[in-house]
Amino acid sequence: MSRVPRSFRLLEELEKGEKGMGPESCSYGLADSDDITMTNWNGTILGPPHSNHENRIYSVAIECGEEYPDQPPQIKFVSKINLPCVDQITGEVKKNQFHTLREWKRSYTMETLLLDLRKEMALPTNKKLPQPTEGSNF
Amino acid sequence: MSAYEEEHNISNEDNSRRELRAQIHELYQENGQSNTLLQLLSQLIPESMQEEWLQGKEEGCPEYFIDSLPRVAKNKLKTGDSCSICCCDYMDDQYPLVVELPHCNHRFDLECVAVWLSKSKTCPLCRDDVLSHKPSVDVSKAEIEEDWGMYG
Amino acid sequence: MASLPKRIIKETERLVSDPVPGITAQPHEDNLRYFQVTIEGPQQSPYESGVFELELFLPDDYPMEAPKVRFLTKIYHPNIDRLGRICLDVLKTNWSPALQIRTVLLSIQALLASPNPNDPLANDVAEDWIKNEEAAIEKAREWTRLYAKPK
Repeated sequence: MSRVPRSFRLLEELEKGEKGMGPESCSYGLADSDDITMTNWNGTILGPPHSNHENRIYSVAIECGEEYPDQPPQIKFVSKINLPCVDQITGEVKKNQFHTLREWKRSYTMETLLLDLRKEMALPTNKKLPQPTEGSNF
Repeated sequence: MSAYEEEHNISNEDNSRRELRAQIHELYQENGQSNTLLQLLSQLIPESMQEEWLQGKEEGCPEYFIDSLPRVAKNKLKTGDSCSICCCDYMDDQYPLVVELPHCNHRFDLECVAVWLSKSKTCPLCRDDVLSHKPSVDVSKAEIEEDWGMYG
Repeated sequence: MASLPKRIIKETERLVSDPVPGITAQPHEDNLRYFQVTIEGPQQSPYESGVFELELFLPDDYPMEAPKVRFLTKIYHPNIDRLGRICLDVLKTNWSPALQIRTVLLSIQALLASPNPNDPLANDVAEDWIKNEEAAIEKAREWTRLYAKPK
């Protein structure tokens, strides 16, 4: 398999996100539709059912650096959330405490990341964690 | 496997059934969903296959068409003639397998053009619709009627 | 990495040995399917004397699938959007495996010479173009001066 360069990979992801071809439980798009470098993205994750996250919509900010997708993007929660892998002051997802970032593969996408975060919320150890007031931000 | 396939043992279909399916497919492509009889008929066809057929409208040529493309004999090939898909000289190969498209007579390596025609109906060089030159299918064939009677 | 098909090697060699006037294309050293491209704005077009940078990638299925191409230089054109994506039939439905990198780049150069606001990708630009062509052309010239400076 040849290596798809960063920009064409991001365009693919953008098109998938724009056309709504992905799952309904998450969404993502460019933060600035004029940004030719396609660095900053906004995403949302719909809280998984049967958890304290149910019916909540979490906003995240994703930064795809120069080395994406060889290196994972940086991702940070805008909406307040209580999860072990999320820094409780900045909202940042801590790379070393979240397997998808720690063991990042080139084939992973922003969608992988959002869906895996949603799974993280639904883990037996995480789903009943007390959560901040809905609608509050970091 | 869908219920239809199980019932009709499609996994073991013989050549005549395959041919029949190709003919229905053709009718389907020509008349689509505007034909009531076809719509009824289509209820007998697995949905996944229908979708494939409808989407397939823009897509490639049937396998039998590709398999039947006339081969160009080696002594009719000149040194320096090359396939415009792989950009290689035909004569680089000791046993070149070159075919000619109907009507426009453009030549390609079979291996190259087969991949293209499996997803397109146009000549790579002149965009001629390669399927438009064959005689249309005779729909009065008894085989089809027999099946319609059986399942209709 | 899988070896490069002969066709890609031949095309690359020819792009270097027999370049198309006004167009350059060079593969990246670490990815021979990924090209750095420049196209000079055609004469008598609003893009004249600009040099536009593009990137081009040959996907695994090339030449059964079209190359992927995008403008990196900001450009005001009804068929090129804000992210540099190009609306051009040969890159989409009208692709043919007999086309090559050079023919694709020539088509893009031709698109610069004759913008087609009736088949738009950048909708707001196309609207401006239809409403007031003169003003749109002036804006395209201005953007060329601002962003497409020759290096």
